[in-house]
Amino acid sequence: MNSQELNLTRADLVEMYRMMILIRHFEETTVAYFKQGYVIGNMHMYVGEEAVATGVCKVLKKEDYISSTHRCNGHMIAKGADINLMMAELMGMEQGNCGGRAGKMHQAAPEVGFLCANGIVGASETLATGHALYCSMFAPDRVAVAFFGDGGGNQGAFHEAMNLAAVWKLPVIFVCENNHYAISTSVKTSTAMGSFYQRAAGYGVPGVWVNGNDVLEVYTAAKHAVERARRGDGPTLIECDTYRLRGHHEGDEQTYRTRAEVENVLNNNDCIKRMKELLEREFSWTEEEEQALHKSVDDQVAAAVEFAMNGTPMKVEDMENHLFAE
Amino acid sequence: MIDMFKMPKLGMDMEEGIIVKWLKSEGDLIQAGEPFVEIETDKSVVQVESPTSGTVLKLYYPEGTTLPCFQPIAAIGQEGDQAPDHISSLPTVNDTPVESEETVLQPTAAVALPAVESASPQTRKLLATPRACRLSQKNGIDLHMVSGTGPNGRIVEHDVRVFIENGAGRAITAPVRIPKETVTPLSGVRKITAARMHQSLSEMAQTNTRMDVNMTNMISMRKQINDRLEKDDIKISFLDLLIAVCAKALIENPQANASLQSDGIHYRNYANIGIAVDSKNGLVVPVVKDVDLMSIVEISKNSRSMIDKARQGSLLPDDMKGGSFTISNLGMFEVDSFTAIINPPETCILAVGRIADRAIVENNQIIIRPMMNLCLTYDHRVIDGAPSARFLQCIKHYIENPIWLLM
Amino acid sequence: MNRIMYRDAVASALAEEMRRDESVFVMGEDVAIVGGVYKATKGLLDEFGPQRVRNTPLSELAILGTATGAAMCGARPVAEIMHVDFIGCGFDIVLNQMSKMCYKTNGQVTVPLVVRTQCGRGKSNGCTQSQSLEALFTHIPGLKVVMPSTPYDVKGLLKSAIRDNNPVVFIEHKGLYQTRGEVPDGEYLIPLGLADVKKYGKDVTIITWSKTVLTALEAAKELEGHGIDAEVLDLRSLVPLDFDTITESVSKTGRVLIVHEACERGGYGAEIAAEISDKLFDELDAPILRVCGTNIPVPNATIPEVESAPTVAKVVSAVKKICQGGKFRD
Repeated sequence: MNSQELNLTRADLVEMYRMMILIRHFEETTVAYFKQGYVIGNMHMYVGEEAVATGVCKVLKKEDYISSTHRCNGHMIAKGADINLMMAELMGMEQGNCGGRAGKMHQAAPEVGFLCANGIVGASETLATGHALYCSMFAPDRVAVAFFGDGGGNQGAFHEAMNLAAVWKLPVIFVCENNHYAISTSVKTSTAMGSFYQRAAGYGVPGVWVNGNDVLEVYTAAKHAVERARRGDGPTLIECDTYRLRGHHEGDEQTYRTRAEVENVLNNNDCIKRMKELLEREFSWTEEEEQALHKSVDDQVAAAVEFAMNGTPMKVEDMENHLFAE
Repeated sequence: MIDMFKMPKLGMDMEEGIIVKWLKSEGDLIQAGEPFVEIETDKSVVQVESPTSGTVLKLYYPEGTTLPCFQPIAAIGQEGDQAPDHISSLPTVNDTPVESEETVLQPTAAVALPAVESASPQTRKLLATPRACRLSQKNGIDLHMVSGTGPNGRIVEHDVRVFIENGAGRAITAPVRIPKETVTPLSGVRKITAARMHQSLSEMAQTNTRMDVNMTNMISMRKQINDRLEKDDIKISFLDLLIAVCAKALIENPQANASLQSDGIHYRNYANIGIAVDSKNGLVVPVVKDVDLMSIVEISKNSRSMIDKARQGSLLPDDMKGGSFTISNLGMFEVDSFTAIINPPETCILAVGRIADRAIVENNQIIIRPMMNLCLTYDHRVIDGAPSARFLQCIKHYIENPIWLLM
Repeated sequence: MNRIMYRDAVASALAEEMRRDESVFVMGEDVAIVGGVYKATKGLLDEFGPQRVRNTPLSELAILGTATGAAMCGARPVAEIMHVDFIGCGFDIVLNQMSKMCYKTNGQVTVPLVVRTQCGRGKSNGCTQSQSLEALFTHIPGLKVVMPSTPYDVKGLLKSAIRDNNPVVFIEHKGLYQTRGEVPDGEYLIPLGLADVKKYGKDVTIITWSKTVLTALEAAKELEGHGIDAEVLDLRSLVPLDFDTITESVSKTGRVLIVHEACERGGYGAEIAAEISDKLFDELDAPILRVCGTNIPVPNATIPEVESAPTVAKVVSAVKKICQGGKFRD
C-alpha cells in the first residue's frame, strides 16, 4: 500500500503510529496495575490488534458512533476517549468515565460517540445498526461502526443485524476483528469457511478481507466503507485478520496455542513494528523522533495512572443512583 | 513516595503465590516494566515486572515464602526513603472479630403481639389476625375471652368489635394480663455456668452424704477470736473458719482433694478452696489458694478480698482457676440443707446450711444446740462412699472440736 | 367522549405522539401495511410513511437491538414484539442492554424506548403464543413495566411511556383489543406508577392488572349478592409500583386477593404479597390469597385454556374464603 495514494501526510502516519503505541502502552500499564490489585475486574487486552481500531477510527469523525466489545480499550482510545477517565474507571473510581460502576467491559465515552462497551459478545452488532438507523433518520452525515470479534461473528445477531442493515441500507460498517480465538476456540473449529468476509455476499453488500495488522490496509478499507455509508449506499463488512498477542484475559494459560505461533506474529506481522519500518523506510523517521514519541506516550499514560490513583472509590451511598433517567 | 509491591494476582482463580526468586536486591535500581520477582502459582512460574521505577528499599519475605495475593512483599521508592521494617499480614477470612463475652444483649422489647399462636399451657391455641390483635390491644382486651368466627376459629377484627360493642370488654374487672415471654440470649456468665453445670452432671458419677454438726464450740471460738481482733477491725466469719477446717481435712484426706483428668487421678498436697459467690452477673467461684499454709486472719483477708472482687465483677480469669474443692453456703437464705453440683474438675463440693437452734439428744437428755447441716457431694468415680464419709466426718470433728485445729 | 376500541386507542396514542415529536417512530413485524396483526398500528403508514412506520423482518433480536441502538442516540422508537412469547428470540437486548444502559453509563446514555407487546390467552393459540410474562421484566432492574386494562388507560399510559426517558415494556392483552371504553377527545396523559381504583369497596381489596381487571369487576358485581363489597385496584403499571394506593386500600379493607393471569409460581403477585406482609402486616384481617394462572404451559383446548386462568367463579370463591368470619358468617 502506498501511503501517498491514500492522501495521507507524514503527520497522519505519525499520528496513527503514536495511537497504536499509546493503546499498547495503556494496555500494558493496565496489566501491571491489575496484577497489583489497583485495576479491578477481568482484563481482556487489545495488544496486537491496535491497527484495527486505529485504522478505522482515523476515518471517522467525532460525531460518528462506534459500538464495542469486552475488548474495548483500543476502540475507545482510538475514538478519542479521555484515558485519564478510562484509567479511573478501570480502578473503580468515581472520577471514572462511568463513576466506577461500569468497569472495563461496560464503560462509555458518549462525548466521542462511544456509547458503550459490552460484556455480551455480539451485542455491538445490533446496537451499532440501531445507531446507524438513528443516523439515517436524523443525522444523515454520520455513520456507525460495529466492532466485534470472530466470537461475535458467530452469534445470531450477526445475521439479523447484517440483513436488517442491508435491506434498510443503513450507514453501518461491520468490522470483524478476527483474532483467531474466541477464548480458546480457534476459528478453524468454530467457523464454516474459516473466515467471515464472504458472508457479505449473502446480504448483497461488499465484503472485504484485509491484513488487520497493517494499519494502512485497514484505513483504506474503512475509508471506502465509510464513504459508501455516507453516500447512503448501505453497510460494508470488513474482516480484519489480526492476532491477539496476550491471552483472552490476564491469567489465561493459553494452552490452546503455542508460544511459537505468538512469537511468529510478534516478529513478522506486528502492527507497530510494520508501521515503524514504513516510517523509517519512506519518511526518514529518526531515533530522536522515536524516543520523543515514546516519552510523550509514557508521560500521557503516567498522568492517567496518577489521575486514577488520586481518585476516590465509588461510594456505596451512590450505588442506587441512575437506575432510571429523569 | 514509597510504593508497596504486592503479591500479584496472575489469574482469576489465583489465591496465593510463592516467591521463587527475587531478581533484584535491596538497594538495586529498578525500572517500570523490569522483571522484579519470579512467582510460582499452582500452575506455573512467571516473572513479574515492577509497575514503578525507583530503588528497591525492602524485600520483606525470603524466597520460598507462600503469601496471599495482594500482600505487600516489597517496597520501592527513592533512595533515602524510609520503608517500614515490617509488614502486617493481610486479614484472612477467619480473622473475623470474636464477639466479646462482655457484650450483654438486651432482650428485645416485649413485642405487643400477644395471642397469635402464643402457647400458654393452660389455654387452647389461639388464632387471631394481626388486625384483631391490634384492636384488642388498643382496648385492653384479653383475646382468650373473644370467640373467633374465622377459619379454624380464628379471631378476626369484627369479632373483637362485637365483643367491645356487647360491653363484654368492660366486664373484665381483673387487670388484664397479656401472657408474654421475653427472651434473653444465653451469654456471658450464664452461658458458662450452664455449660459447666451440664458438663458436671453429665460426666461425673455424683452422689452425696450428709451430717449435722454441733456449732456450739465453733461459735464460742469465733467470739473469742473476734473479741481479740476487734481493735484491729478484723472480723472472722463462719465461712473463714469453715475454709480453715476444710483445708486441714483436705490435706488429711487426699482422696477428696483430687481431680480425675485424662491421664489419671491427680492428688494434691495443697488446698485451694473455691467459694461460691452470688454476683450481679450470676454464680462465680473465686479460689483462695494455698489455704492450708494460712493463718485464720490471712484466710479471712483473702476470702474477703475475693468475695468483694466477685461482687464488683472485677475477678480475673486466674482468680477462678486452680481450685481443688468448693464451699457453697446458702445459710443466709434460711436454707437448712441442700445438695450442690461439683465444680469440675474438682471431686467434692460442700453444701452448707444455716446455723439454727435444734433439739438434740445428748447424754440421754433432749437439749437445744446450734446445729448446722453439711452435705458433701462427691464424684464416685474418684472417691468411694466410705472415704467420703471419713472426709465429712473429719470436717465434723474439727468443727465440733476446733481446738484440734491447732494440732 | 367517544366509546372506542382498545386497539384504536393504541393507534391514536401513537399517532398523537408521532405528530408531536418527530423522533418518535414505530418498527416491528407487520406494523405497516396491515397495521399490525391486532390492528393497533392501523392508519399510521398512510399518515407517516415507511420511514417512520418501519416494517421489519422476523428478527426480534434485530428489532430490539436496533431500537435500543437508535434510542441510545436520541430517537424515541416504539418497537413492537408481536407476542410477548417471542421476546426470548431477542432477550439479551432486554436483559443486558436496554435495562442496564442508563445505570452502567452513570446516566450518560439513556434509552427512551417503548417495547410494545401483547400477552395473554383466549384465542386458542397454545403454549407459545398465549403467555403472560410480566414477571420476567419486573425482575430486571432498569425496566418500567406497564399493563393497561382499558382504552382510556392504554392511550394515556402509552403516551407517557413514549415521553419517558427509560425503556418501558408496554404489555397489551390480546383479549382486550376489541373491548370498548370511553376516551376523551382531547389530549391527556396518565403518569406511570399510578394505580387506579376501578371500583370502590370496603370489605376486600382485589389487586390486579391487565385483562383480569375485567374478571375482578365481574366477580365484584357477583359478590355484592353475597353482601361483600369488594374494591378492585388496577395497578396499571407494575414498575414503578403505586404502593401508596395499595396501602390506602388495604388499610381500609384489611383483606387482599391478588389476581393475575400469569403463572402463580414466581409471579408478580408474590412480590406484592410479600411487600404487603412486610409493610402492612398489622392491617391484615386475613391471609393474602392469590388467584393466578395454573403452573402449566397454556393448553390449547378451549375449556382447559379458560380454566387454567383466573375466572369469575375462582375470584368469587377466593374472596368468600378471605372474608369468612365476622359479619360474613355463613
